[in-house]
Amino acid sequence: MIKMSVGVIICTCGNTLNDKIDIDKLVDFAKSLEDVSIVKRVELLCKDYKQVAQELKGKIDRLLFVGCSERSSLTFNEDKIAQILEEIGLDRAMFEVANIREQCAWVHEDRDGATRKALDQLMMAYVKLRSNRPTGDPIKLEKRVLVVGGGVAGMQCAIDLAKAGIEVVLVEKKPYLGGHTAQIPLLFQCEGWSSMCTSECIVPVIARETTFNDKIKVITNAEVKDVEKVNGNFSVTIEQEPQFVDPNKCVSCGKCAEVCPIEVPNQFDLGFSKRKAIDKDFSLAIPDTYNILEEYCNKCGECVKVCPTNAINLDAKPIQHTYTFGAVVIATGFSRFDLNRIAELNYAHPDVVTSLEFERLLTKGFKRPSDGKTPESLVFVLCSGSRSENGVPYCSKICCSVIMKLANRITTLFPETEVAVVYKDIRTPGKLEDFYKMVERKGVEFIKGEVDEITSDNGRLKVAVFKEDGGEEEIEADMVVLAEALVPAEVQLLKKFGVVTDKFGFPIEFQPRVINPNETYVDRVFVVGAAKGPEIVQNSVESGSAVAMRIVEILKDGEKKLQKFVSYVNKDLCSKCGICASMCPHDAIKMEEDGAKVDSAFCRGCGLCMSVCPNHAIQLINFEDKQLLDQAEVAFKHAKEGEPRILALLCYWCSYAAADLMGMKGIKLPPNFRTIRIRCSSSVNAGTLLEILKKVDGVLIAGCPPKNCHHGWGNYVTAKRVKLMNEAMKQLGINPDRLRWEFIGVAMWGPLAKAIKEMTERLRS
Amino acid sequence: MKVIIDWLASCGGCDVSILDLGVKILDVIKEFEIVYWPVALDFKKEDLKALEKADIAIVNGAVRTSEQEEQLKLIRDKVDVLIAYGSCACFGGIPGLGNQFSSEEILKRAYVETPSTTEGKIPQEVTKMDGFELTLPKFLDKVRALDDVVEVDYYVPGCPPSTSTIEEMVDLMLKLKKGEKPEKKVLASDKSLCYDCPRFKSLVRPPTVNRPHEIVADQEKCFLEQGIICLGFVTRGGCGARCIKANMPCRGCYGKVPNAFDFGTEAITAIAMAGTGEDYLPPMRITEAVDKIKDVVGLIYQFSLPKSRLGDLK
Repeated sequence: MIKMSVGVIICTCGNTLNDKIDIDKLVDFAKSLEDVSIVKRVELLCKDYKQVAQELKGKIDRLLFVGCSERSSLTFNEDKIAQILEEIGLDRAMFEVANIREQCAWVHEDRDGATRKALDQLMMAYVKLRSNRPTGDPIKLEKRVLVVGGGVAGMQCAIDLAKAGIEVVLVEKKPYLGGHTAQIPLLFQCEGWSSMCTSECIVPVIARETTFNDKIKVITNAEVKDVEKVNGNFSVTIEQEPQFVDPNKCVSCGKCAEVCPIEVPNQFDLGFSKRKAIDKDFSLAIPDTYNILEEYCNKCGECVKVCPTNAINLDAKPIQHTYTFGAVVIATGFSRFDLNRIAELNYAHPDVVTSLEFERLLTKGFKRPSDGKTPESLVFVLCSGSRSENGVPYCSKICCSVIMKLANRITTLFPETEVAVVYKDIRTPGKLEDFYKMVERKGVEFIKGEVDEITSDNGRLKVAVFKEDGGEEEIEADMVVLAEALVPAEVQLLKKFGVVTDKFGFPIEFQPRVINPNETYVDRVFVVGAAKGPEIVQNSVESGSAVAMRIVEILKDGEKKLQKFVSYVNKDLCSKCGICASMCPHDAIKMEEDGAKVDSAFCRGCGLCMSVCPNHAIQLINFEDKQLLDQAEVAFKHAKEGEPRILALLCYWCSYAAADLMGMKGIKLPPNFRTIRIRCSSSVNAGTLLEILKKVDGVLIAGCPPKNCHHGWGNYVTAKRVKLMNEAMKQLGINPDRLRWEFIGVAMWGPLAKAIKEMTERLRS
Repeated sequence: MKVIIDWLASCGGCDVSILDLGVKILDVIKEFEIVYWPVALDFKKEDLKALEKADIAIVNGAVRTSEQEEQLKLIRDKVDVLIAYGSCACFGGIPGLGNQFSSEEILKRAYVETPSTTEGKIPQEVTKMDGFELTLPKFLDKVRALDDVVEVDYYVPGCPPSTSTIEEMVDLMLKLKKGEKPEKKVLASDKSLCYDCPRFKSLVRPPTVNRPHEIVADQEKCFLEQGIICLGFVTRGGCGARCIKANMPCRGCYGKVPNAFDFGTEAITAIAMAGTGEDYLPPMRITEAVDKIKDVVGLIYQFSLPKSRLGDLK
């Protein structure tokens, strides 16, 4: 075995730890350990760590820091340790911490007991450190980003990335950029008053900026066909429909459409206008080119004859583009809930339209579809499909504001129209409230209740409402506008990237979501705009910009340094059961012919895969089963006899921090327990838990609270594992109190202390 | 070469399974002389004692009584090679589930408490009757696998071993006859059953736990992903996926994969994946998917409780 050189720094925190711990004993003990070449006692490492690093440079190959918590210290946490390692020139994996402050000196009163515990903590960190190893060379990342979706969010993200020098491929399903925004004539501006701007200005401005940038390749009429994760990057195949009209030649003169014999509904206007099989969807569309709808074109060739620039080729074939990307942005916007699914809303009736349809309809004038007459009365129905048993349970967030905007427009331009709004609640958040107040002032009738049914009789619509106050009301109207629910647009696309979604299909953001907005559970896959959930245009643009900034940072070096914990597979032991892949919340594992394979650049080191492998074929570097067992073996070497020996396995994020806070908040406990900062609570396999139980009296395992696991379901799986273990222990006549599970969030230092106390008492008897 | 075949705490299925060899059994008879096989012919312990030496013993069943222990030790002394045949001999098997209870509890249940019993009486090791002394072997405290009593040279797992595994055993015996000493101690695959399983996997967590009678299992899809607990992932392959092909989930009769620490706890590790959508459940209901499992020990140690490292904790 290669000789190693361990440096031990023992920090006394300005000599404040001496009262509780015999530091001399720790120093002597550290010196007695094999391969320890330097033991340094310092008073405040946080203040002069650079100098200490210089002294250690070239002398050690691993660092053991004995002092404050690497998780919770306000002055010297793991980020600082990473800096010191860099100064010394050590790999980020070659350190361990013995937390003798928060989880020892601060939480125990008995000096002898605390010193014994500190010695054990030092030993535990030491045995682990000896078997740590570097996780490998950085993975090269392609400095190219895929943006899927050419709406405002996607375009803004692409523009900002390109401005920072990053190449972007922007894929859009439709022939034009702008997405739903282009269909909405007036957009909210979130000022202190009701203010709007027009998409006829906004969309060309942002779309021009996108298409004119050399760093952005825009592929319209295209979809992501295949995604494969290769060596830390995304290899993506994009399929583009045949380009019958060459955008480089087309001058949008419109001669082709004039001669085209085929007229079809224009989907840009949601069927309220017609277009030709060769046409432009709307006059301001960018790219500024005509397109052919293949499913309607009969290839008569008339357009080819009249085209002055020979831009039309009716024999064009689909094109496949394959690129490798270092990051991906999903900006696919929303879809509209199919209101035909709620029969009582009578959506099939021509004069019952949705809010987006009404937006398009208004651009042709305020006329109802059935007979072209201007309606004298109009009913808006909020929550059409949202917050509904027959639709989706969530609030679609923007519809109330949208309806207020539309109602405001009608009452302003057609003041004689009778307008009513049927609503459950009015939710016009923030500054959008001003739109609501304005509509209220204009005398619009608000009816709180739910629609029973919408019927028609002699050209008049009747909206029957169950009112909240218990009564019923029937409102007659010439036209009804349903505020349609918004649903996820591209669930299959998210699946292709391995993104975890909620039960509706919206992507779940990486925990803690509060500081990781827009980041999915798959490394370097982001969601922006309404793809993440219903959102107004301005906020969508904002998220596009924000994510661009994140990606610039990630791709700036063109590589990803691997973190301390990365899974790897011993293929000789792998039986291809695939359980690791189904457990991985980060889609980092794929099954190959000869076994499972971890793509380490996507691995977040949670250890969920390792814990479910029955044959221990998959292990987490620097958190291997054996390392954990080695730590458990020495955990109570210095402990006094007679007290139950409890080993607390605390998850990396929440529970370990709660243990630190026990000390910070002044809780005092007997020194009969030791802690190990494990990865996710679900990183420890039940077989390993059992082996640990053979070495100690009790094991407490704790993880993040419900709905807060950093790895999706790690905490839930552990809760179930321990439940099953406890059941089996009971059946076998083993005291189930020896193994305990707790959901412990950062702020749950109290419940954690209570659990440790309770366990101690129960195991004592 | 002389061969002993014997049964201890066993259902008899293992002895019958040898006949699954079909015509190949004729080769066995040609190559080996079966000198003791109480299931097939009327041998008594005295016959065994009288044997001077044999070469190979194939013993099925676990050790539950003092007589079985004595018998096994006797056999061990007579042979060069002892083969533990079947899950009971290898890991304790179904009788091993008795280790959840004390011997008193078991006898009381069997001879007194069963609903069909009136005025039950617990059998005694010695009963005096009409001036005679009737004796029974001692009912030991625990069921043990053969290697917990004597040294075992080879293991042939299965309940019962599948024909291909028995054929492998015959090949082993032929090698032994040639004087070879094959290193492979367990006549099963080092990979789990999943390695051989023909079913399709979508690589998703099981949505819940379905007890086999609750749903009709899809014949093409992975059992576990359908929520039907199948222990193939922790069980050695080599059985030919017999149960899987009959649309029944694996129960683990071939024993744990070699690198697993323990059969049952490793099984728990992955069973606990079952049940999705916990984010939508109130905290009290988070474990409800696995709460449907009524007899955890019976599920995870159906064939190997005497070998359970969890049981050792006691």
